[in-house]
Amino acid sequence: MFKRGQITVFIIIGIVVLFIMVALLSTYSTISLKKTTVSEEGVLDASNIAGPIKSYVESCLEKTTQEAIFENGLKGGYFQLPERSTTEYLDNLPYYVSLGESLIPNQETLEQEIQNYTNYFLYRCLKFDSFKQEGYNISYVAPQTKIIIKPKKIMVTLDMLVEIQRDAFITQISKFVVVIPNDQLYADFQSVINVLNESQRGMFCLSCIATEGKKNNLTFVINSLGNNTHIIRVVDNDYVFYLEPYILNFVVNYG
Amino acid sequence: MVKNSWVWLAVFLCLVATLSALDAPTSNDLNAFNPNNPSVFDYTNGDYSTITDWSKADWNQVRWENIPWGTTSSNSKFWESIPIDKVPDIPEDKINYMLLGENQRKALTTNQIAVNLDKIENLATDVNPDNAREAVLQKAGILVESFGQGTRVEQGMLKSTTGKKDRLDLGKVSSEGKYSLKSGWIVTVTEEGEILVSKKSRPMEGSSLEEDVPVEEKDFSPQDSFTLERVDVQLSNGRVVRQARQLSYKEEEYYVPEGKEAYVDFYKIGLSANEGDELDRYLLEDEIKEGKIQPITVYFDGKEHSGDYVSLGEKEVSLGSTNKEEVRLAPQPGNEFFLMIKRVYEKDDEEKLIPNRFTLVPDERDTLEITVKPGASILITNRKEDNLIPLVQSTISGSGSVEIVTGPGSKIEDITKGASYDLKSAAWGDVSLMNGNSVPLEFIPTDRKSRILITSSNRLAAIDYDDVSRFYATTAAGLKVTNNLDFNLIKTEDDVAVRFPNLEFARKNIWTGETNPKNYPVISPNLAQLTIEWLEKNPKVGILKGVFFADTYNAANINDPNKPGYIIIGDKISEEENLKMTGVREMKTVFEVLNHEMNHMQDTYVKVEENKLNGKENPTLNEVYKELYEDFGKQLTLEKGFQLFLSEPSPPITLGNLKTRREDIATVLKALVDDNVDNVKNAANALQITEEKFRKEIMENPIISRVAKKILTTEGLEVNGKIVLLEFNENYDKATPEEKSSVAAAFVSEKLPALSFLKIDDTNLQSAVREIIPLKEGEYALHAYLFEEGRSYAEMGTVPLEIPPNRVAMSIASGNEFLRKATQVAYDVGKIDQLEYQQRMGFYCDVFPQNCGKCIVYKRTCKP
Repeated sequence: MFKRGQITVFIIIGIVVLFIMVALLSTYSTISLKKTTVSEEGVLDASNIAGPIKSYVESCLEKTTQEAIFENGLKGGYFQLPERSTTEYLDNLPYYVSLGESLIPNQETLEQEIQNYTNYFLYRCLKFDSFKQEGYNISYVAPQTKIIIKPKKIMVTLDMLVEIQRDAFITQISKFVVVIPNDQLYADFQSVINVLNESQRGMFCLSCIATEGKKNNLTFVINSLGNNTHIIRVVDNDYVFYLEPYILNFVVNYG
Repeated sequence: MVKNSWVWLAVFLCLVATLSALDAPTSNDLNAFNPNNPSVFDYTNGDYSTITDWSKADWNQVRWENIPWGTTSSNSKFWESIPIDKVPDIPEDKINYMLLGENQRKALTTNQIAVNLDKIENLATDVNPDNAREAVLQKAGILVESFGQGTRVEQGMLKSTTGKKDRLDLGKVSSEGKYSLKSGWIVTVTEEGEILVSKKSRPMEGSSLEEDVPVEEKDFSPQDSFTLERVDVQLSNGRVVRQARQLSYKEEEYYVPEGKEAYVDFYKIGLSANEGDELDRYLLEDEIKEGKIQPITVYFDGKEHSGDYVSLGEKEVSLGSTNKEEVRLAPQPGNEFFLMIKRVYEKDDEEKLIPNRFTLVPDERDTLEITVKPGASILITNRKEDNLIPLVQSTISGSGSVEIVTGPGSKIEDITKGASYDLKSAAWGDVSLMNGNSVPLEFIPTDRKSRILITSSNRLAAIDYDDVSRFYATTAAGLKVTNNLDFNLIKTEDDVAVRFPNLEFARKNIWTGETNPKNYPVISPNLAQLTIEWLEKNPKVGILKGVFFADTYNAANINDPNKPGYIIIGDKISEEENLKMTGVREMKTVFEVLNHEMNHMQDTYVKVEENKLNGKENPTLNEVYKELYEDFGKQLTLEKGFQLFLSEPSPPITLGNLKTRREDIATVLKALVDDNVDNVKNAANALQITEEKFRKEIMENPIISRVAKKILTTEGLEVNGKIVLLEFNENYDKATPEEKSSVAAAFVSEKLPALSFLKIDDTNLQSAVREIIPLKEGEYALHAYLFEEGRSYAEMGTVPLEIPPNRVAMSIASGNEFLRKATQVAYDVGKIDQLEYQQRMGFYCDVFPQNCGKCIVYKRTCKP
């Protein structure tokens, strides 16, 4: 027979399991804390509130991530320029090659920089205007995004507690996931890496550019800054966001 | 005893008589040479064979024709005894050169030398060289300007017996004993044994003068070995190759000796090892001695050959290397195959250039070197008939490589793994465009993946091998890169002027005003081509009267109402200063700069019209722009986006002091709007106090480093801003209300460039950031440039027009009155046509038709 204490433990475990099941059953990873279950307008539950909000946030997440990719591209994939960047111009750029040393950011860095941008600017999209007009009160905490760039897609995970309140209802959503089909970013960077790896001693590999350019519809625009320093602008004419092509700017210096 | 005495006396007398008789001068006695009494010898009729001791002969009386040469010519004493001054008298055919003494040989005459030419071992020293020169000329028709040691003529060959041991086959001897194969040649035999052929002359018809003609290849023989030195050569096929220099010939082949360079037909051919310092040359000599360096064979058929060679055809040129060293070909200015030429136009009676009537002259600015390393070859095809620049195709195997260097900034290398562009050679930037021109060519690397175009204006592009419209790489900054021959021959100011006869062109020193200054004698092909390209594309060219070129300048409209219609275009427009930020600025081509200046020019024309009017009932264009300028500050504070930006909650990652800064600026702006001078002062003080801390923090804040960093790094703010603050603070209490207001306005106007960086689209900060980033103070940026000090609001008439129409339309739809008015003014003064006006105004005119149309904002000279 079970002792009372054992029963208590089982009850507690059962409650915990129940909570976990409730949590798992929630399609949107939400926890609904129902303070009032009935109003004059009808029944409000977690799903019909959280669903549109979650979609809204995820659309913002996708949009901001895309912005991040394109904006960071203008600065060589960085949100915040690394130490080894030009300093003498109003618009500075990172060195991908400095005195012959390769400084091409690795995938982890690119992901981190996109995360930083997204974390920073996501709020601008999260205005919830239409929801607010309908009487919702929405608040959220600092977003924490996680970006993983795959050859064919970009996986974006957002940990951000969003609290939705209307009248007596309060709903929270904390996790958002977006998968952006994207084979260009990975391929473009791979192309740039291939070109720079083959461009030793300042001999910019035109054959490599032709190969990579043909593969990914890229154009490499080269402008000299003097002192063996050059801005390279890589334009992907097939990869477009808001009518603008993807541009990756960086600086090379071969000493 | 007495009888015996008589007998002895008689005997004595007889003996004396006999002796006397023997010694008596009889006719028979004078014919014989008496060594004891040589002076009595009859040199006219005497028997020269009786002369046994020629040293006693009186050479003044010797009659050469009486000498019995058959026996005497082998008499060494005879020859030894001939005085030097009598040597010239010796019949040339009688001379036994071998028995002549050293000095006697030097006394030989031209004829004597000519007859004995084969016997003279060293024409430089054994005989009188002047006479020898004459003798060779007489005998072979060749003028030897200088004999090197060991020069001789032997068995129909003029040859050097030392050093290189060159020789000239003089051909078969004629019945007159003369040679004619090399007749008319002028040569020099060097101390190193080289025979340098420097000229061929022939008498001019009907004149005693001579004319220079090419040496003819048909006169060359398999035995010949010589070096051509500044002489034209007529090849067997009739083609004349010009000015062969240091080009050698041997065993029926032209060649460049190991370690040397040669020139022919506007080509320089040579080994790269020729370059370098003293040590390099020392090592080179060693390598030559060790046989490591081979000569380069030169052909003139253009076909591919084996070995180290250069083949210079009329339609094709090829070069290759299979040996140990590099082969280098450097076409020279004047080379028509490689278009290293420029046009010089004829002028009519009015000194105007005549199109299509020009001569082609060398363009001394052009440089090109093509080098192949062992295992590589190149074939270059002349495509002039198709109006295309030369096509260069490389074939590489093993460790071979090809290198092409042209102009100050284009170096291409092709190796087995592909072609590369040497970034270290890039022209744009620290290399002035005036330092040289590139030579136009289309290069196809061995991998046949791409075509690399290099223009005559230092531009380069890599395009698809099959799809020539597909560009993979470019340094052209939006300018044309083409394989069109005519376009690549645009290189001079006259090339521009002849295309636009109604425009005035000149070179200017912008700083002194001097026209066509001596230190700026020519414009660069880059400037010529971009000017033509722009003039052909620019629909507003009709208002242009002239173009002033400037080397070290950018571009400008000459804002002179007394002389409107002139623009300055400088080479700097294509250089680093304008292009270094194209990667992140939206200006994609240099033409946008020129279009900007044309918008200024239209304003200048408006001023001209305004000056003609007496009435002043409507504001001038400048007054309209001033109003726009002042409205901008107010507009900024009213814009929803700006307000949102100022009031929005701090994002999750704090903006730090940027928010404080924004609040300061907002306070200042609001003070201006409210005309609250005290608040302006307080805000200004706050700004000053926080500035240092702010500056420090912006270095660490990513957002500010992207956007607001410019606020403090902008020179105008950092310098002028401080000055304004200082003056404002120190003099504020003394100022009148009007002055205070003025100071406040001045302060804010100083800040407006900075504020312009913060101009935010109300719906999309990201797009605003993208607008903000390209801004650069003092250059061609958009908003910041609007407020550059001292421009009298001039940029109000330009910068708004440089914002893309769709963006303007969106902004106007969002309530941007500034852009709406700026667009309206542009339409009122005729800068944009009705179609563009409609594009820029967007839906606004559908909603507010009463606010649209012509002459709405600017009315003074506006024509409905």
